[in-house]
Amino acid sequence: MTHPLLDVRNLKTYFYLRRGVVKAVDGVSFRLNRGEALGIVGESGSGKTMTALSILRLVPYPGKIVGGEIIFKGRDLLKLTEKEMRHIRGKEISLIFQDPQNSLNPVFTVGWQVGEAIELHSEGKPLWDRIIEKVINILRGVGIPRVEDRVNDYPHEFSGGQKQRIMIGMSISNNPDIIIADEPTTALDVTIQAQIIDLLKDLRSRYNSSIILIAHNMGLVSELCDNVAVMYAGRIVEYGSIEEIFNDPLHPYTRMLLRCIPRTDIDVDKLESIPGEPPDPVNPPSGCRFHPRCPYAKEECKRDPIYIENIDGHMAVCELYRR
Amino acid sequence: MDKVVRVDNLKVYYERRKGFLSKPQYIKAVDGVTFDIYRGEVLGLVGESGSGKTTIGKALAGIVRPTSGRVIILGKDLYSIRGQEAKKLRTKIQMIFQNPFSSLDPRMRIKDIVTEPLKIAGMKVADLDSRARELIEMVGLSREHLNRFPHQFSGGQRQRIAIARALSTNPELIIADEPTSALDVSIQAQILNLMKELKDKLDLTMLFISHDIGVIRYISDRVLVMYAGKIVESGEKTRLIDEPLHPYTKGLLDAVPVPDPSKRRVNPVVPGEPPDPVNPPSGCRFHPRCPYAKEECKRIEPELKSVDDDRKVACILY
Ligand SMILES: Nc1ncnc2c1ncn2[C@@H]1O[C@H](COP(=O)(O)OP(=O)(O)O)[C@@H](O)[C@H]1O
Ligand SMILES: Nc1ncnc2c1ncn2[C@@H]1O[C@H](COP(=O)(O)OP(=O)(O)O)[C@@H](O)[C@H]1O
Ligand code: SF4
Ligand SMILES: [Mg+2]
Ligand SMILES: [Mg+2]
Repeated sequence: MTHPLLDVRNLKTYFYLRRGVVKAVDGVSFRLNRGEALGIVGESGSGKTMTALSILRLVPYPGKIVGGEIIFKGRDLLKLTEKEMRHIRGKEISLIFQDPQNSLNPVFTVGWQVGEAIELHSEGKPLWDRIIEKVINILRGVGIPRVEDRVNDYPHEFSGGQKQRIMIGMSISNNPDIIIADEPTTALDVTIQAQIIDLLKDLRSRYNSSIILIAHNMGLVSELCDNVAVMYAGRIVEYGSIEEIFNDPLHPYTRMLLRCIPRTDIDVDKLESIPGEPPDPVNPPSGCRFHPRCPYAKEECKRDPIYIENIDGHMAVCELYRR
Repeated sequence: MDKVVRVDNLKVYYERRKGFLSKPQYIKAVDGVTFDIYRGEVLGLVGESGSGKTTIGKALAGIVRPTSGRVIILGKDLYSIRGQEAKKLRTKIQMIFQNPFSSLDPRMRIKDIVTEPLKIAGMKVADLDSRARELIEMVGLSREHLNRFPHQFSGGQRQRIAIARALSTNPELIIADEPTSALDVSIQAQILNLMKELKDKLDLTMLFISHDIGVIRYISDRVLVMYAGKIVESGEKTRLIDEPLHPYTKGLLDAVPVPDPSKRRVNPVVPGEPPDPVNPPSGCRFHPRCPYAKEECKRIEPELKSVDDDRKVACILY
């Protein structure tokens, strides 16, 4: 058996607040192969961003990774020194955030910022002219028009879509093994969003990079990904191939979530909605965290551990399938 | 059919001055739009950010004065009537905003929030408390909620409160500006279903603004598509969305990702970005991005013309 590029095992990231412990990520496991695009979907607060930040060990205070392993190319990232981690970040695993506004530094030109990202991870000390040459190539590759004239412009002189292209350029400048994109198009209009998705598809086929696309928009994930993990209240409740998740979902949450989406391609009389709201993260329900909102819930659903159905890798955490 | 709203060649320009002495520039947020809203219908207004949707909503709500053109609501010219007549008309129009976190005053109790428009309008209500109870129950919350403050509620619940407030004066026209854009899909579905139900029950007429075509398809009867301050296409929702005519509408619909892996996009995406609203392109404002653009498109500004019974398109191809 070949080893996956990334193997996240039973990851737990908790926030210690005065009011109690928020189990933001509570026993998350998944694998990512080289060249694969994995989608992580779920509503806000389900733990998607904290999963991503945990992989890079960038969880903000008062959050802490309290358990699990993150095996990347055979090494557990949770056991590396901070110095070793700095080498991984941006070079081997890079992160694209939702808001390009806040991820670019307003006081430096974009050429300087992309250049610095390259220089940081270069062997020796390449000449700045060579670096700028590379920057121009990268920015051209992500579709910035008239790059030569624009490398010395500041972030505010670019549109939101262009800033996101620059961020993507920066994140691929060192040819990373994994690009984690956390809601990369949420702040953008749909035509610009489609352009960015095309760009990610293109990068993936050019460099065989692996992508983790975090999104609350199921359509985006369907457009780009091979496999999908569905998160609810800090846990993965279903995992499967894109066809399995969209055509044959097993978990009641996934099924209902798909039927809540107002479709552009079909008329529906009444949208399905999920009753209630996601749980208070400090006091989540026992057993299956979805049970208070689930129309199929039975007594067993309130007890731990919940049964895991697994049909050739299509996995759902749900009591309905216990035989 | 009875028209609740008639908008005639509406223009709203915002003035922007770069420096104290410099010449003002005009942001042409809405630049000559004409449309009607019929009694009992939901008119969906869709377009990307900056296309002028909110500005149209505010012009209909009496919040932004038009630069030119007319807004006729319930037969009255909104910006020329005065005094009691104006006050009375204002109670018939209510707006619901996108952000449920900033639209409710954090220092007010829910019971005061939902009855506030009644007080502003100076409407005499025999029993404010019982009106507050009626309103809060209408939106699926309970009377225990009335003594609480906004921060004690989730985004979805706050949007229910905003809806209750909008309904307090028994309006006939509701302008809903992206009321579910800040919510998760499962909560969005609850709010959309609530709005549909209330619309039928209370015989409301609605302008529903959204950038989400799925939401527009679900809630609307007819749709207007905006691009750079202009209406580029209008028509019955199912036909417009299934068979768009304007190249921008086609591109927009193509770009929306569908939650079905067998329907991945195959057509190339619309290139480029929306124009600068201070200096929009000549002729058809979409021409720099349009795959079908011809020479004339740069010169001739296409009018919104009927192509059949209910469809109008602003494009020289038709
Ligand atoms: N700085 C923080 N302090 C306390 N709790 C936090 C903090 N950041 C995130 N959380 C909690 O962690 C959980 C997961 O958050 P997140 O990973 O950001 O969700 P998602 O990205 O799926 O919207 C949420 O319940 C959130 O309240
Ligand atoms: N108060 C204002 N002052 C100046 N410009 C404004 C103001 N409100 C909106 N605009 C500009 O007008 C245009 C249309 O904005 P808006 O009506 O908010 O569009 P939409 O709701 O479709 O995103 C945009 O270019 C926007 O920046
Ligand atoms: S475990 Fe029970 S409550 Fe949870 S999704 Fe399955 S049936 Fe519903
Ligand atoms: Mg997030
Ligand atoms: Mg708006």
